[in-house]
Amino acid sequence: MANKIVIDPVTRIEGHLRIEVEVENGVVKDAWSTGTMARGFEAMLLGRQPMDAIYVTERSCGVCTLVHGMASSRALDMAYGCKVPEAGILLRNLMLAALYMGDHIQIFYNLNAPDYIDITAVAGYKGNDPKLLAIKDKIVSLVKANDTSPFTPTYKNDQYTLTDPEIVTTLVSHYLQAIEARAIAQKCIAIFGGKSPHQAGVIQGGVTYHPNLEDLIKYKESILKVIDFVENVYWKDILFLGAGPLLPVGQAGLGGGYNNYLSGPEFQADESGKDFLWKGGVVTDGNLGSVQPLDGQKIAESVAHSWYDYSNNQPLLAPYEGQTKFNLTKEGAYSFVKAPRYDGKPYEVGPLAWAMTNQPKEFMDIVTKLNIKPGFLARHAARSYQTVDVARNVLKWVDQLAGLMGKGPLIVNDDKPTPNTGKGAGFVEAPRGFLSHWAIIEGGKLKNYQQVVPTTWNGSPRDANNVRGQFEQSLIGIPVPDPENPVNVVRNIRSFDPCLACAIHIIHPESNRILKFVVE
Amino acid sequence: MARLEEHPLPQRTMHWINLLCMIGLIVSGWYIHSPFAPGWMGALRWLHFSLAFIWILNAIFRVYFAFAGSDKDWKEFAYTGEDIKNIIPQIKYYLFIGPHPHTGKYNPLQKVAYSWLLIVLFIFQATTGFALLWPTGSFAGVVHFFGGLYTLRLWHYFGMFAFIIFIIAHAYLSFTEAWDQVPLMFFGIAKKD
Amino acid sequence: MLSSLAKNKVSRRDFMKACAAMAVYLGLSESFAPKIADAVENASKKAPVVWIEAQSCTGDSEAFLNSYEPTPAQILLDTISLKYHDTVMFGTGYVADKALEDAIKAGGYVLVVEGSIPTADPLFCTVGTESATNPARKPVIDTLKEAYKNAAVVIALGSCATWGGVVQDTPSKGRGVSEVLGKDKVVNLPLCPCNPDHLAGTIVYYLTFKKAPPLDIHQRPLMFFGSIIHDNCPRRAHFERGEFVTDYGDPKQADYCLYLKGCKGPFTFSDCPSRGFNENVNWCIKASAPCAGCSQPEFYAGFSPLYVKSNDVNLPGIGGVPSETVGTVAAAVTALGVAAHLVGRSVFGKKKEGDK
Ligand code: HEM
Ligand code: HEM
Ligand code: SF4
Ligand code: SF4
Repeated sequence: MANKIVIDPVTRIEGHLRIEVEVENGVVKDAWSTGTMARGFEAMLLGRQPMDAIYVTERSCGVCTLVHGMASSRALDMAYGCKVPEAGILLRNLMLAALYMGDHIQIFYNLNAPDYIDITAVAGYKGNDPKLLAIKDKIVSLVKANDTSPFTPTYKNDQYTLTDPEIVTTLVSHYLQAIEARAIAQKCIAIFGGKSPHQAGVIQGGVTYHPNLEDLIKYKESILKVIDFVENVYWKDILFLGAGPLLPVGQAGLGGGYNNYLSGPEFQADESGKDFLWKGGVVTDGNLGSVQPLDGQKIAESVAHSWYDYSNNQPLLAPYEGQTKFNLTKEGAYSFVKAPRYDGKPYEVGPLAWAMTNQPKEFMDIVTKLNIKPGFLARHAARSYQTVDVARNVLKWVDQLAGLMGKGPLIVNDDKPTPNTGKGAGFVEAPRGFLSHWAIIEGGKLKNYQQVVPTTWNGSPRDANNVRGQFEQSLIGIPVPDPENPVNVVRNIRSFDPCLACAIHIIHPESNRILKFVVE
Repeated sequence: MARLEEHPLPQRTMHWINLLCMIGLIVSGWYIHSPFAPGWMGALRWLHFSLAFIWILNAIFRVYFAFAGSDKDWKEFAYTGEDIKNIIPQIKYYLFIGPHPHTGKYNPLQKVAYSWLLIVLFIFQATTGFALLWPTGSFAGVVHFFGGLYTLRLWHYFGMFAFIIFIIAHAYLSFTEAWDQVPLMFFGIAKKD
Repeated sequence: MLSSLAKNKVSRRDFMKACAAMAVYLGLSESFAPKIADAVENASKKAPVVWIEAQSCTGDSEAFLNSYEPTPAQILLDTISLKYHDTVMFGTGYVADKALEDAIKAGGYVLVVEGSIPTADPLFCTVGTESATNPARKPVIDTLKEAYKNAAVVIALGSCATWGGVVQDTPSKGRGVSEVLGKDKVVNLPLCPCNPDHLAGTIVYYLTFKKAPPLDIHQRPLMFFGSIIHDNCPRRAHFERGEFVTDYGDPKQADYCLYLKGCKGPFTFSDCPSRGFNENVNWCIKASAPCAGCSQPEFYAGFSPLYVKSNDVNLPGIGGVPSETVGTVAAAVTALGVAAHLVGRSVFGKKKEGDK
């Protein structure tokens, strides 16, 4: 007998997500993922001065902030015909690097780790580390006061829940440290971008700010603290958990999905715009031996199961031609999210896709040795390793920028007037995965604007061929022994680091009715 | 036709001050809105505020003088039954389809323009100006009423154009309809008939 | 300020000093320090907080996590009892819904609203299910109405929750708390995203005095939103000298005034120039980004375009027209009218009094 489970809200992610799964014999048989909130930025942007898109789309998401402003700026770099000078490239790199570190730390410790620990185990801590004892005292006093929000209530423990007091107390202390480390990383973005979340400094042509040596020193001092946390806490915890208590999850490969991976180039290395730290690429059907170059022309979106219509019922439309005609009574539609496909197929984006397409040797060796298969544990491992990779490169960019400062004026931007007509695509390999913005300018105003964001790739509904999105596919086979406790479902979904606010942004201006989504 | 007593010295002085302030306010206001050349913002804002105060005091005194001055010329601006009768003929006159009606010193349209219209514009410009100057205290309500400082400034800016339009029309009519009054108004020179 | 709170080795004296600093920050005299100390210290009185995200980007929650004096951990562990928060809480699904239900029933909490409330259709934003037995999507506006009723004080956090912000003009017509739920007990803390100091300060003020701080006409605390950015801007001297950034690439202009780049500082009330963001390391204008006016009810639609100085006015049937054009055209029409009259005058001649 199949059992339908509705999980709404899926908390500890960005945005409002609802997951429905059909469970049979203790495993997930089918799944639907629905974003439940829409704003409609793109419709609002039409007819506006193009630079407004940088400011507005930056606000698509406050967690992986910066990347939308950056993708938008890159789209306008192209549309305006701006060449970003070296200092501008480095400043963008420094901000993105800080975001990567802060964001990934938060995703693991603050948003995902709670799924794996039983916080009450802290009470059993027997060690004598004064920091951990202070945490124990605090938690015990909260329990005594009967006031343990927001740490309780939760789902019940299961076989993968960590209950060892030493491990749990350490993780709780890292949970608290992670908040601080993340805030320092945010500060690093603000040093050049004005503030974070929602930095204000990246625009087409580079950045607005001419930094001085003092700023660079401040950045370096702060980022060193974050690097320390990444290398000595985050990566070590992942190695410990992945090779230790959570190894069975990794070896079982729970939450794998299609094994189609896609990632973009990132961390521009020079002004040519051709050399990148990460090349990215496309891997299909788990064929790691053949990484194909990413071709933006092959991206197209389906709305077969989303609340939109395309003229002539076209199965797919490229982002430049993207249409936003709303149809609320559409049969079989169940999501605000469109379904992007590459060469007609669904792909996973994000750290695991990054690892599968760039195949960093150290990481590949570890997962091969431990026999970890694609799934939610592998996703965490890839995320952590990706953070380490950024940490290892960031100081180099600081030095490069410092070197440029001695040599005369630091031109950070190429200030061009708004073109009458123009067209541009901006790609960013964001912490959540491959992100692209597409802009068309006519008469000096935006004629079309589309965002194809990581969670649209991962969290899409079924497409015209009834092929599931990656969230949905990766849920198939996930064990849910107790329907009251679908913790594995949310563990898997959270490992993708979903961001629903940015996934849903297209709404037709004339629409003002949305039908309730009913699953039969 | 033009008699010296029609525009005694105090009135003439105030008209002068009025004109000079207006020119200064328009030039400086225009610059504040669209700074066309670098280097002048501080000086021109200072000028704008100084002239604004002079202009306001001058205008208040002009109204006071109309009632308390030696010649009590408020009567010249007051509406009479005859004025109301004359409105249509006066308009017809300006449209070349009728003769100039017989009026007092100022015709009914001038009366409106010189008194009510100017007073309303004056109050409008002074209120929006002061609200821009002191937006937090007792003028916070004015800022709110206009929907924030941004739109308030726009209104103040359009107020400037209202004055520009007044001046164009007023100067034109003075030069064409009352050419003899101009030297009198400005320099106290009365042409002999 | 209160960073000493959770650290074990801090002396009583340091703690009182921190409270005195907080008092000054809140615009009070230092003699309020003991009162503040009592309010923030007493764990048995941890204030219940319900934090609901409507049409949000989670940016305000992220900004809250950037607090440094006190740190978020201190706030969470010592000062408030966070009953519900989508992005932070450990519970999920029906467990989370239940926690919210219980908190609302208990009442007396600080309600923090993040994100705008869709007014075009409630289904633009749903969170959770209607009930444990009815799995239909529950519109967030319904949840908010329930939560508003039993709240002791309501904080609309960030520009979206105050007046809709960037969502204002979208098809979903996002609106703020005081526009949709009600005006009483609402404290507006705009900025996109909020300044975490403002949130911490407001909560400490509330805990100390059991009431909202003094507010301006837009229900913003005067202590944070009492002055105009332009009046405290470090680039003001350049404004006075008429030195404006016109080319970002020119290092000579690096710290010129951003007026011509669309800066909304002259129309915007906030303490950004002195408070800054991220431990006051920087803020928009300091980073050469024009102020977008994000603390104002006009933001965003009323201030667009953001990066270009323009004062377009919307004329019915025509759309956005630069105010310069409107004014100049009006003046030109007058001049043309005058010229036409002059021509007419010479054609028709001047009718003398008494002519028929
Ligand atoms: C007929 C008289 C006046 C004219 C034509 C005039 C015109 C202008 C104009 C065009 C602006 C620029 C607005 C913009 O940027 O869009 C301005 C600004 C301003 N005016 Fe006036 N104005 C007049 C009287 C006054 C008065 C009586 C005051 C009262 C004190 C005043 C105070 C201001 C202030 C405070 C500003 C803003 C300047 C700034 O903050 O930079 N103005 N005016
Ligand atoms: C080019 C500039 C101007 C010229 C040539 C001019 C000329 C004149 C003349 C000739 C009169 C007398 C009209 C008559 O007796 O029929 C007059 C009256 C008047 N003008 Fe002007 N004027 C100028 C600018 C202004 C301005 C800028 C204002 C105020 C905003 C103004 C306000 C008045 C008023 C209120 C009167 C009524 C009489 C009075 O105050 O004594 N004028 N003007
Ligand atoms: S940068 Fe903006 S706030 Fe600062 S002085 Fe210039 S206009 Fe005013
Ligand atoms: S400086 Fe302006 S745009 Fe920046 S946060 Fe303050 S009010 Fe908002």
